[in-house]
Amino acid sequence: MSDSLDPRNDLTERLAALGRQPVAPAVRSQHLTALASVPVARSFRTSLAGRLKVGAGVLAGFLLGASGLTAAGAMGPLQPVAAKVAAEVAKVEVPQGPKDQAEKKAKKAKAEKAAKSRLADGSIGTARDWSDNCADNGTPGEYAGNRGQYLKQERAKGADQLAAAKASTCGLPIGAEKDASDEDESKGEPKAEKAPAQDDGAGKSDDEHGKATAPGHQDKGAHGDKAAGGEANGPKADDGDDEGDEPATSAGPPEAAGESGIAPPVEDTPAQPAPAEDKPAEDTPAGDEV
Amino acid sequence: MAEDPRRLAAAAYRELAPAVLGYLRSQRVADPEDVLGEVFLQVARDVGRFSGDDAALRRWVFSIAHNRSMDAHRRAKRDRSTLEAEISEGRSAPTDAPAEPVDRELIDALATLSDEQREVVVLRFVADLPLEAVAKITGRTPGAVKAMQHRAMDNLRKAVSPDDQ
Repeated sequence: MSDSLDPRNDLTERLAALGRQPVAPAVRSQHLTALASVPVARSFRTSLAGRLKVGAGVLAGFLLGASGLTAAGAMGPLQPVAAKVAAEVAKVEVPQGPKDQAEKKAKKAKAEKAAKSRLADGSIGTARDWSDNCADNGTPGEYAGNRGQYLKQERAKGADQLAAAKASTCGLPIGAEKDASDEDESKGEPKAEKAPAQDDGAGKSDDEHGKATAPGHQDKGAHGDKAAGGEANGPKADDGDDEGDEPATSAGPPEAAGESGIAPPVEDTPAQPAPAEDKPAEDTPAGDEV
Repeated sequence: MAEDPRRLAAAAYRELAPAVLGYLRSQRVADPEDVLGEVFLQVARDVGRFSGDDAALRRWVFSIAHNRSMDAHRRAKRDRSTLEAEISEGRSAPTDAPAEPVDRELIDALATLSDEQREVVVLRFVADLPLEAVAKITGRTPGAVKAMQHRAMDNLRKAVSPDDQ
């Protein structure tokens, strides 16, 4: 290897000599004359104006992007500050941050729990079959909200309990017949998981399914943790000693489906503003050593 | 502090034109002197926005030369007759008469390399650029450039001295 870099090597010396041959005088003169007549802007003013323009563009882009993130409550630790700024600038109500979100969650969970209770005793909503042979959810007289939730409740207790639950009419609207889809265990989770609600100890917090909701947060249970065990996605390090490698790219395997066969829900994050494309113009000076 | 860009371009020309010309010749560009002029006209237009040291300037100039070289090859492939007409119109000075004889054997040997290998060898030894600069210009990792250089030099040696195989 060092042979090819040895400056005394005849071949490398010949190559270097190719780069030292002067330009023919006539050609050189012609070129220098042409260079002297090229119209160029003053470097100082051009660069200052350019920098100002670039700076303004960056700031505008940042504000636009940040406003979207702020509205979605995705600014993390900066959320309260961002919310304040957004509220001042746009008179828009935006989430204040973790505290606000926690309160919202708690309210939502309370409402859902109340709804569940109503469904369980049949007093409001669809009247369901909750006869004495139906297993409660740990609290006497209380059951999971509907048929699907009931099956999930029983499945958590074991195969025998699940089989018994399937054989029963527990949770079905009164007068309805058992659905053949009960037999298919994989369809026991018709909806994507929602964020686990505040739990008062009545059972697992991930019992909330069966409602028509858009894919939300991943549950903490069996489904969503494939990513944890999977590859760490991200740009591969360019260690510089690979032979014939192309420049590094970032890629990773798609997330595997959860146990139930349903793909883990996509996290509900707002679309990020696309990063400013740093596509170099072919001949743009790139003096800054990156 | 703000130097006249044209003076900067002229200084860059005096410093780098021989190496750029050698690079263009090694790449078998159809009219290397003409392309040389194009390269430095581009430098003159954009040097006002350039900031960096000599090494950065060198890399930048050869980036332009690299792109112009590829443009010239594309033009040549597309329409060789049109290119010859452009050359004859645009040239007012002899271009095939360099001050010193060109190492024709070496240039022919370089032609036996693949485009990628030749590019690496020429940028490394004719243009005298460091590995990192060559990697940036060619869009490769330094490791890949190093490996490619090694293979290219082996092939070049065989092409220059086939009897020594």
